[in-house]
Formats: sequence, C-alpha cells, structure tokens
Amino acid sequence: MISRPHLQNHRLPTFVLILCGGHAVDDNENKTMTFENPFVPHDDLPQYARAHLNPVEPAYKKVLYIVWSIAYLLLLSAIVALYLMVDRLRDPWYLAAALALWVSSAAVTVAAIEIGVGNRAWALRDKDIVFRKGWLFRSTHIIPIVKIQHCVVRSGPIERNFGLASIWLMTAAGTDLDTGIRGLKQETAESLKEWVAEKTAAYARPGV
Amino acid sequence: MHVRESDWSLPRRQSPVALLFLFGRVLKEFWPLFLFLAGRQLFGSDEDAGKRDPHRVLYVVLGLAATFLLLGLYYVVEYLRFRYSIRSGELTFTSGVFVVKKTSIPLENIQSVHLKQGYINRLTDTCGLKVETAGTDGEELDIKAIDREEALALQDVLQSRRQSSEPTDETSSDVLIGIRPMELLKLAFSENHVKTFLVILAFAFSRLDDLSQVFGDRAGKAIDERMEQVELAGRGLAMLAGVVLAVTLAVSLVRVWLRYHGMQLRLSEDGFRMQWGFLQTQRKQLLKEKIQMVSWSSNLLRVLLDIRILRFYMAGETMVGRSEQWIRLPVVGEAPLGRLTAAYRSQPPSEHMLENRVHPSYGWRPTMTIALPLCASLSVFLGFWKPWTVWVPLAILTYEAVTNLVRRRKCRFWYDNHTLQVESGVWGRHQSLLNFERVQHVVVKTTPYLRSQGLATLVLHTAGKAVSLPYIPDAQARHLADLCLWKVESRGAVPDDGS
Repeated sequence: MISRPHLQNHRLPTFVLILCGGHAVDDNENKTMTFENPFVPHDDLPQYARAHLNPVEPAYKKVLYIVWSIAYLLLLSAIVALYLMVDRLRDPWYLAAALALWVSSAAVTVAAIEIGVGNRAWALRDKDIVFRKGWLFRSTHIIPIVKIQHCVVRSGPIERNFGLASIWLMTAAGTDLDTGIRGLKQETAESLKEWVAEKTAAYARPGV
Repeated sequence: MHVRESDWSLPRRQSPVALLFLFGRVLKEFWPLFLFLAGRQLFGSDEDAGKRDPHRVLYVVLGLAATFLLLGLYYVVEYLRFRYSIRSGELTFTSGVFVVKKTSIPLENIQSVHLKQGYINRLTDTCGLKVETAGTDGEELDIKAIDREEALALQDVLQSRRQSSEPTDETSSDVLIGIRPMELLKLAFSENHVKTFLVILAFAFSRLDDLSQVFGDRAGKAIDERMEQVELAGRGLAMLAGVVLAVTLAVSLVRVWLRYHGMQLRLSEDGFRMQWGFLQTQRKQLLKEKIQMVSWSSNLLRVLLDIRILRFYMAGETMVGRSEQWIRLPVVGEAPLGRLTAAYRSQPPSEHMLENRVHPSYGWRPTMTIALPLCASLSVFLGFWKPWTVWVPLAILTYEAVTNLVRRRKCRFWYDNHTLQVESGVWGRHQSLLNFERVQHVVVKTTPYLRSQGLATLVLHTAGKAVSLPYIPDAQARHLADLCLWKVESRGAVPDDGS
C-alpha cells in the first residue's frame, strides 16, 4: 500500500517514494497492523549538503608546495645519484624515462594541490562536523559530535611557520580512517577543539 | 554464596594459580632457544666437536638457570603487585614491577567481560577474565586466574554496572543454539577448503624454514633428497591429490571441532550468554546494547545445507587470539536466525520495504578500470616472456568480469527509518543489518565517472565494521546519510557505545 494515490500499484524504489513524499509499506495488511514505520520525507530532515562549507586557509597551498617540493627534490637527487653511481643504469634512455615519470608525477601533484585545496572545506553544525576533501576522488565526511571520543590538534614545523594546524576527530570507528581537517588557522583549530571537547563532555553527562 | 556477598571495594589479588601462567609465559618465550640448543647439540657439525670447551654445556645451563630465576622473581613481584577493586563506579587495578601503574575504567565504559577456562583452570577450578573497553587505548584488564565463583560474580557485577549481583542461573533460560555432532560434520564439510589448504601449506613451509634454521642445512637437504626420489606422475599425482583432500578435510573437521564444540547460546534479560570451546571453555555475555551490527553469510555449499555463519559486531570486542571485532556463531535453519537477529532488529526492512539496487555500471566498471588495465599489462609482459602463458591473465579477466556482473546482480538493499539491510555476495550470500543509531562516521564518496552519472558511494562506519553502498543515486546517498545522522543526533545526549 502506498499513501500517494498517483504512486499506487507501482513498485518503485524506496528513495523515489521518499523523494515524492510517499509512504511505502508492504501489501500485507497484517504487517502494517503490527509494525508502524512512517517515512520521514527528505525535505523534513536537516540536510548536510545544504551546510555552507568554509574553505581552508589559502596558505595551506604554500605548505603543500613546500612539502612536495622537498619530496620531489629528494627523488630527483636519488635519480641523478643512481644514474651517476650505478654503471648498469648509466643509460640516457633510463634517465630520460625516469625524468619523464618525475615531470608527469610533479604535474599531477601540482594539479592535485591547486584543485584539491580548492575543494577542501568544512562546516560546523550544531550536532556534527562536515568536511570535504579530494580532487578526482572526492569524499564528504560527516561526524556526529556525540560519537567523537576525542580530538587532537597537530601542526608540523612548516604548518606552524604559516600559523596553520589540523584537527583530527577520533571516533570508535577506528584509527585507520582519515578524519583530519587540514589547513585551519592555529587559533581556529584550537577553538574548534575546545568547542568539541565541551560538546562531548556535555553529551557524556546523562540528562544533559 | 560468600564470594558474591563480599566487598568489591577491597583490593584483591589473583589466585596463586596465576603464577603458573606467568611461569608458563617464560617457557613459551624460551622454547625456540631450547630447541636451538638441543638441535645444535644433536645435529651440530662433527668438526666443531673437538674444539668445544668441555664446560660449555655447564655454562649454558647455569646461564639459563640464572635467567629463569630472574624472570621468575620478576613475575612473582608482578603477581604480588597486581590488585583490582571496584570503587565509586570504577574498576581500578594496579600493575607493574618497576613502574607501578594505576588504571581506572568507569563501569559504563566496559564493553564486555570474557571468561576462559583452560586445562590448568579446570583442574584448579579457576577462570581467566578479560575486560574489554571501547577504543584502542589499551585500558584492558587481563586476569590470568581467579576463583571460578568469584569470576562469575565479577562478570555479573561488571556487566550489570552495579556493585551487587543476582546469582547466575544458567539453566533457567532457553538454549537458542546448541551444535549437534551432525551439524559439526556439515559445518566441517562446508568449510572453505581452499583457505584450509593454504593455511596448511603456509604452516608446513614456516615449520620447514624453522627446522632448517635449527638443524642447519642437513635437514633441508635430507627432505630435498626424499622429494627427488618420489615419482610425480599419473598414479602418484592422483594419490597426492587424495592425500591432500583427506588432510584438508581432517584439518577442517578439527578446526570446526575446536571452534564450535560445546557451543551453547542462551537468551538472557539483557542479551545472550554464550559458552563454547573444547580445550578452553569460554563464557561470554553479549549485551544487546553493545551490538553494533549483525551480518550472516553462507558459501555456495552452506546455502544448499541451510547453514549460515552469523556475526555480531561488537564495540571493542576481540576474540581470544583474534583481532576481529565480532562474535561468530553457526546457525542452522531460518527460525533460529530470526530469533537471534530479533535481539538487534525485530523486523528487518526486507520484510516490509521495497528493495533497492545499485546502478548497472557497478557490474562492469570495476572490470574496465581495474581488472582490464592490470590484465592487459600482464598479457603484454607475458606475451614477450612466455607467449603460451597469456591465457592466465585472460582467464583472470574473464573470472573478474563474470564475478563483477554477478556481484552487481546480487547486490540489493532495503531501509526504513531505523535500519539498513544489505544483501551481497558472488557465489554465496551475505546479509548485513545496521541500525542507523550505531553509525559513528558517514562518508559520501564520488569519482569523476560517478559524478557524471549522478551517482555516489555511501560508507557508514560503525565501531565494529563499515557498510558500503556503491554506485547508488546521489540523491539517495544524501538522503540515507541525512536519515542516519538524524537518527544518531536525535537519539539523545547519552552515547550508546560506551564512548
């Protein structure tokens, strides 16, 4: 049985019914008598996609350029050293192939930084934290405050030089998940941590 | 009983039987050294014998005795220092030899209390007890041996989160699952024999390597000589295949026997009481409120035999000697499965909601983006190296293409306001039930292709396991994410998982 007349007699996927504000139950009347489970239309739910996301600090791009430059320079040094020191590898074709690979990887990294940092954004809602990351493979993470076990603020020497830090939100879902919001101002990260700590402490007290 | 009426706020020691376990640990850690010394003594090269110091054996024995004495002393101090008590709603224990560590675990943070009984425990009427908490902070209590009655009482106190407890009456509740010998045979017969064979193979190779290291090259050479004498042709190969099959079946039977012997699951007020084990009797309480997710699966043979392996994913749960966060139970028939899953969700969404499927591109896209490039590269390489082996990557590609198509066809899901149910599998069948309020972290993933098609992959992480819905419409992924967050966030302020 479907509550919308124009949707009756159509076995539509559940989400289509929801989007239409429909109410889907099985044809078996007995089941509807014993189990009530009315649908909540999507428009009635708070939607994470409507949250206004704040971009991360533009200075984070500089941090990434410095970190990756160091890595690529080390890689280039290793290629040149191998070319000069190992007789079997002293072939201009090998060097050309390695340099071509190096240049193409560097180009991909530059694109990833330029577009990836633009895509990094975060938002604080009353009951959860939303953050987005990724360039080609994009992901949006939503972590309910009530599930956060603790949070950690981290900053490396290069980040500190630019006054930046990242915040890591730990849940019981495991430590192997990338739950860090990078590229925040040091003060923002610290105040975010305090805010989350206050919220989680409040949630941990029964009746609050 | 006098133990249950006693005051838990007074610090207590383990039973002296715990010392046996501590000394046993020394032997366990040192047995490779013993084997090495014995091997060198028995199989050492004859040329070195003349150069040996006659007192060498004596020095070695004295050195070992001194080491044992020191370690023994260390473990006695460790035993004497270890105390536990329950005060102000917290389980407190002190441990350590050089640095004394005091740890307190709030009783509401305790995820499970696990009892185990090995041969030594059985002989001395004691139990091992392990307390597990959420997260990986390592704040876990591991008592090697305490009096059995005391262990049962402590388990009750800790699980019920109060400092007094009702006596445990195991006979009062119904046995939900009990494994009969015939069912054990069925389970053994339907085990994954390829996996068992690989386990045997890996074990055999590792032992061979150990033997070579202990006894030197002589043992390895002797085995090689024997192997060369065996004629591997026709009848010999058939015999070898027969022996491998028989050994694999026997090992499967032993594994199943050890894992499920004496398994009983009883219904209790707050969940289940579970008991299992052949060499080690283990008892565990599964609290309903700690169950994060439920899944059940059957391979092709088990679908025919109507057997399912049910898994309860628990927060902070670890089986003895395992790292997985789940409890595994074999279930024969549909009725017991319904009674067990009812503890988590009384009516699964598939019973009253319409099914949803993933996008058809999920059936071919992984083949085109992962399997095809890899197999094509492998084919080119093999084509230059040994052209007649090109059929291998082609066979892999065909298998991948077929399995991906089957996987897509079998993948379907249902959901209502509370629960998501997912069915998947290739040759067998796998079902998962996830209550939205158990979700810890929601991720919506996209790739350029998914974005162009208006699709997304939704991943719901729990404290036990993650559930993924690949290639579903973006609007549906967002709706499910919002529904899930709404359930989690509107559930009230008190965390449900001990967090």
